[in-house]
Amino acid sequence: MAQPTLILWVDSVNAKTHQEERVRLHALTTGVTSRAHRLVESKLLAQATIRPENAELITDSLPSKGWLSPEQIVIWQLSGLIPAQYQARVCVVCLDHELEPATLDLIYATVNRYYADLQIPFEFSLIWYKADYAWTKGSCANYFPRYAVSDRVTDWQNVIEHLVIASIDSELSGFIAQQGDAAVEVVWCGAAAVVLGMDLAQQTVLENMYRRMIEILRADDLTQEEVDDSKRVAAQNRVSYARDIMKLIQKQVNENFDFSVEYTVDEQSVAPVVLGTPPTHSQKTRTAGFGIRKGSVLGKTLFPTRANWWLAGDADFSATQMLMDLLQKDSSVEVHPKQADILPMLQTNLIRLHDRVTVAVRDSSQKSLDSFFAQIFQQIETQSSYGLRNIQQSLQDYIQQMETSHLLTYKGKLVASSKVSTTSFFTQISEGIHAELTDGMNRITRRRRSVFSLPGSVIRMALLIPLLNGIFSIVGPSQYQDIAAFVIPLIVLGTGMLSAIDSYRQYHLYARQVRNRVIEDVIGGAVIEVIESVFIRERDRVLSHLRHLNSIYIDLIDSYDHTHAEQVKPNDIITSNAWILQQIDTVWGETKKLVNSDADNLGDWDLIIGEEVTTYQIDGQTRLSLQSATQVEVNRDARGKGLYRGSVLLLQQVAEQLRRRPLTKQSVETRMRNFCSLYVKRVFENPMNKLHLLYEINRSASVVMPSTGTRLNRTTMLGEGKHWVWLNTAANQNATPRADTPASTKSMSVLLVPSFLQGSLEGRYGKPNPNWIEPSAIVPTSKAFDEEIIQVRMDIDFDEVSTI
Amino acid sequence: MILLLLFLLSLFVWLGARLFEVRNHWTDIVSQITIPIGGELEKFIIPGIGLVIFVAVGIGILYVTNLLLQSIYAALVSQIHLKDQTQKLPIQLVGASVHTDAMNENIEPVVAWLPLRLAKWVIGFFVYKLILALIIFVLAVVIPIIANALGAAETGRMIAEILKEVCFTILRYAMNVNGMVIFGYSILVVYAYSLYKIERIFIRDYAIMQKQIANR
Repeated sequence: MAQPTLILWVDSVNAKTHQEERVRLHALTTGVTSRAHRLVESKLLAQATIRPENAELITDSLPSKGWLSPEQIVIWQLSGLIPAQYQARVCVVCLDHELEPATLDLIYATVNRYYADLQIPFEFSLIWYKADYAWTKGSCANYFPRYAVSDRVTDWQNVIEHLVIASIDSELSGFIAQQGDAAVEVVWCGAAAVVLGMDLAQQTVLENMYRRMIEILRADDLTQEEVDDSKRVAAQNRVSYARDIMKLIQKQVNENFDFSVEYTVDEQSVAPVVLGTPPTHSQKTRTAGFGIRKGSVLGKTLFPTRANWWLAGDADFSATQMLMDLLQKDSSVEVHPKQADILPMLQTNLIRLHDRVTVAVRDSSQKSLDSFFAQIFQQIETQSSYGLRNIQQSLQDYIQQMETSHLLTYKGKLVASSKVSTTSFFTQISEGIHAELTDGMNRITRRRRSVFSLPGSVIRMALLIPLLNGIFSIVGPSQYQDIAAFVIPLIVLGTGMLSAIDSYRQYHLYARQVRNRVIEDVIGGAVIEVIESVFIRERDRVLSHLRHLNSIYIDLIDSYDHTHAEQVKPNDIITSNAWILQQIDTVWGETKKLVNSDADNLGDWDLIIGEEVTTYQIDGQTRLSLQSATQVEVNRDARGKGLYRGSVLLLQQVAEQLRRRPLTKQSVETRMRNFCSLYVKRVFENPMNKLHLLYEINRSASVVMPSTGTRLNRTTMLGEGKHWVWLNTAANQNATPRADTPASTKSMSVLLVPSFLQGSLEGRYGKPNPNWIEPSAIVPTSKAFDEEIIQVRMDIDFDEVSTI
Repeated sequence: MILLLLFLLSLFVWLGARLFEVRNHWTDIVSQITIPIGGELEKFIIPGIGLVIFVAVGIGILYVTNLLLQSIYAALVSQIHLKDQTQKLPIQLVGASVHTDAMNENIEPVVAWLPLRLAKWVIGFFVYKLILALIIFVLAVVIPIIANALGAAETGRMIAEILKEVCFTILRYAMNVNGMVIFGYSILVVYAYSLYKIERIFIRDYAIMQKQIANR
């Protein structure tokens, strides 16, 4: 058994301490002290808060808190919780660097006295919060020479880290060492949380872990200032943060364009921002295109020439400008801006926009992740089991959620591609813009250049003069020939000029349409694409981080289980029947006697919990007579195969709890109901518990049917109806009762069935056993159970053995 | 370029058409011949050598101009890979002008297509007028023969006379100096537009080549 570690928090936060830090430390110490002593992994973690202003009360307060009282130690020793001979480790965490040495003296003396009274040797270690202050102050340097204050302790995380290093199993630290520096910083926090087993501490640690992880992962592309800004902004809640992002984006867009980014905030969604126009007022906001504002940065860079009005709007139309343009020769007329001018400016602006949106979205995703982790912490807070697996499972869920859902939807179109790199993205967008602009500019220029210049039109119309004159000389009246020779050219040339001017005005309108379309299609699309891409890439980035973290957790779990599986001796193995009983026991009370033997002489071990009455012989075998006995078969195959992850930990806890709190006689029905409610509750609280329960139950839940003595070997029970099939066949094969069912038998049968199977079980499978006992309690389960059929049937007969 | 030359030609035609009114010269744009048709001498005005000279000279000018343009284009094509001092391709210098100019293939307004259409209409007018007159003349020959065979010689002769008059009227219509001038000019316009089409096609191809080279 590992050394119990006694952690002593010395909190002396005073008024001089920063308020924020004070609040944080207060929350932490409150959470720590609210769980005075817990037993996790055979490590005793007891906490107490000592304030310097109450230093004189330490002597009185420490025992009164119960964690160090001799009575408690004796109780723990007698109950087997603490071995009779062990070495305690007292770890004092000083939260105040200005703590007086006298206070430390007092603490040391107090602890020393109590342990001396108990004749328990102990190690006294000191961890100083913000030790660099302490070093410079000189108040505590070399105060405890054997346990020199570490220079590394510069932050709260490092306090936890120090605790981990001080208390963690060596096998795990080997694993951590293999993961590299970055992984260590991520892992030790989670490991610390598991080892410490303190929910609120775990929450704090995980918060810090995530923040630390973000810092590590972001270190390459974010400055410290940005990280700090992100942290500061992350203090707000998710939805308000989403609004902030969109305000940022809107500001960017609205400064440069005359359209507005429409969005809605879905508070229920993981990704709260939904771009696009809400359907309620979509008709109102939809106007005829949008353009680039002339005064904006984008407008100034996009339209630097006098041709600005060309794309700007009707207000800039000028007749003089029109005539000047019309009088130019064809080839000399250029349409501004050129593509060569547009593309770099557009790319620059888009990149700038992209960067800003990236920052905003990253902050958003961090906030989203923060809230996600806060949910995890809350979840872990509400249930005291298995932080590591809960975290891993929650990570898995979140990863799947992110993979299946979308951070951003635009106009109802789901974002498809999830692999967009920066370079390829801008290459694509550049090509797209180039093609679109070429097409758009061609549409603008092709008509104007060949047709709409005044000389061009006049030349073309002048070609008509000989033709028309000749025709008129043939067809027309002869007396008008001389007049026509001068009138026809005037008409023709005038028509050409008017046609050019009219076409020019038509072109102006046409150019506006083309302008609108180009801007809307190209630039607007590019902006939206930028935003989408940023969301996608941010999602991918977060996903990769989460996957990495998840893999770390999986490896950690494997390593952890592997380590502990090897440590388990065969005598310690108790199958998960005992764990089930432990769940009962948790609700019910104390167990009187725990027997690990082949009580029914059927080849396997039995786990019988009850109050021993007497022993007797049957067929030359010694049997125990237990009052209030609960007999559970232990599966030999499961024992032979070894236990997988989770089982050992669970069973160790079960064994200790069974030892600690023996069973007492209470209402069986009440107990079973409580168990079932607990079972359901725990499963509903966390799917991971369902997995554990499923695993444990189906793995080794061999149910002894006391009324018949039939031993039902467990086979696999996962899957639809298999358990029922097994019950049926096994019961038919071994249905011969060894003894008649005594009338005094109090049988209890609890059936947990999916709701959709209720009523159809017998119709499908028949009664599983001739001696089938109708369930005393049928616990309907919700859809959480519908995925897998779960039946737990437990027959508990308190009088079975004694009546044989 | 071609159209600009044609514009000059049109000015020449418009202002100098009356120079061709001198008749019975071998360079006249029309000639008057007398043909015995139907036993009588009929006077007809037909295109003269002057019209041929006019059309040939105009086509020659346009052709030579086209050759010059092609040589210029060939020089452009040979230099399409070359970069200037600023290491830029020609298309990067001129921007989109050449490229977009080559893209002028959309439907153009009336001032753009009316000269070509009107020239084609004029040519078609003369051609269909000739075809129609020939058909009517054949009828004027065939109908009396058929009528003789049917025993209605008088009626056939009368119908033939009417058809001959109609035929000759049609043939003579617009067969004067002005008509021949606009006929020849129309030929030049059509030819010039065909050259202009080739020119545009070349510019388009050249622009496409430039674009391809620039995107390489």
